[in-house]
Amino acid sequence: MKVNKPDIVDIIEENKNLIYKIVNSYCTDRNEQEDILQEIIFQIIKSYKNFDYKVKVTTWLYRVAFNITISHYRKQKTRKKHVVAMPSKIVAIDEDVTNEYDERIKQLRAFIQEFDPLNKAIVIMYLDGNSHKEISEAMGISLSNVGTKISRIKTQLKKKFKQ
Amino acid sequence: MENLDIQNLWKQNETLLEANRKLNLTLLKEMKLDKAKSSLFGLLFLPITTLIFYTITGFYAIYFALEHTQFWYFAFSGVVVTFFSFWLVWSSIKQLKLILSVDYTQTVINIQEKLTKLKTAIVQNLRIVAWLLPFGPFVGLFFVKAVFNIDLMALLNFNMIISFGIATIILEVVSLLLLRALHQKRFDSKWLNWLLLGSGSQVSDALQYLKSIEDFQKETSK
Repeated sequence: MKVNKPDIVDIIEENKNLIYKIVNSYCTDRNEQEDILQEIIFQIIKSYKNFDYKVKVTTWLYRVAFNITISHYRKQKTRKKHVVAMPSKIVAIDEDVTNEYDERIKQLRAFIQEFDPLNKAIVIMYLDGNSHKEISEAMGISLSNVGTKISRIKTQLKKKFKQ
Repeated sequence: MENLDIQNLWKQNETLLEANRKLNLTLLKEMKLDKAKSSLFGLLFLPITTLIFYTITGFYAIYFALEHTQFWYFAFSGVVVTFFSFWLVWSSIKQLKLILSVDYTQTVINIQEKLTKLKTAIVQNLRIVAWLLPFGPFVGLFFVKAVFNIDLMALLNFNMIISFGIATIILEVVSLLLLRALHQKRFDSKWLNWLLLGSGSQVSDALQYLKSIEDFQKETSK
């Protein structure tokens, strides 16, 4: 029996915040964020036809978003735009009005920035409320390793806020 | 601060991000994937050109060796060029396989390892060049005969033959030093940087990242 897959645009629309949070946690430049978001969405659409639901949709989205964002974060040269001559951006980002932000949100963002790229991914997924199994499936590490790392991350975050 | 407070802050962060970002659904629905290229396509150029060039060179070198069997130095140089050409072809095929196997939907560790290994592929090619160095004079003989149809050995006098031998020994030493340097776990960035015309620090960084990925996969409780 053939299962109808939901429309990919609906999936992206429902999970856009997941992607925003990941990109925002690795990159602070607005223009670069727009470029990364564009590439993530492109890769999601491109790979959706082969998506077989062996993992959750969100796990699949986390993988794509983290892989592209971390790769961009590590790249030193200017990234070539992968989408040819798009007339406008798929995601447009307004200028952040920082004085509206809670100081503690700024602090949380700053603390998350201090983690290395791979541990940052675990922090983000943990804060999003994902189970150890989901984090393990997205990252490709063992369940017990996820547990060890989350325990360490919780301690570190508490310590940072206490200082 | 309790974990619940941190998670509440995270949710507030999410709300703020959503407020500042606008997803263009119309554009999304019209997105033409066939006109867009993956950013990885740019990486295919070098291994494909290497593959084509050294395949042609390798087959020509076989023909060259067979055509000049009466001159041991030409036959030997043909064999050397054949061997190293196909070694570079094999290396290019490995790189192409790696590039084409990159699928962003795979686990983060898997893809980060693959992408980082792509950056260090140049080290593999450098090792092949290092192995080739001692045979440099023979490669030179091959090249001059193939391109200019000049038999350099016929023009050599005794002193030049001695120089040929000395050059081979020097290149052997350089080759050993290069191979040793390229096998060290920690590269000397300045040295590698010079060798790779400025890309050494990127390769060094990639090797360190590979190590950090390896450490990340281990369960440590420190």
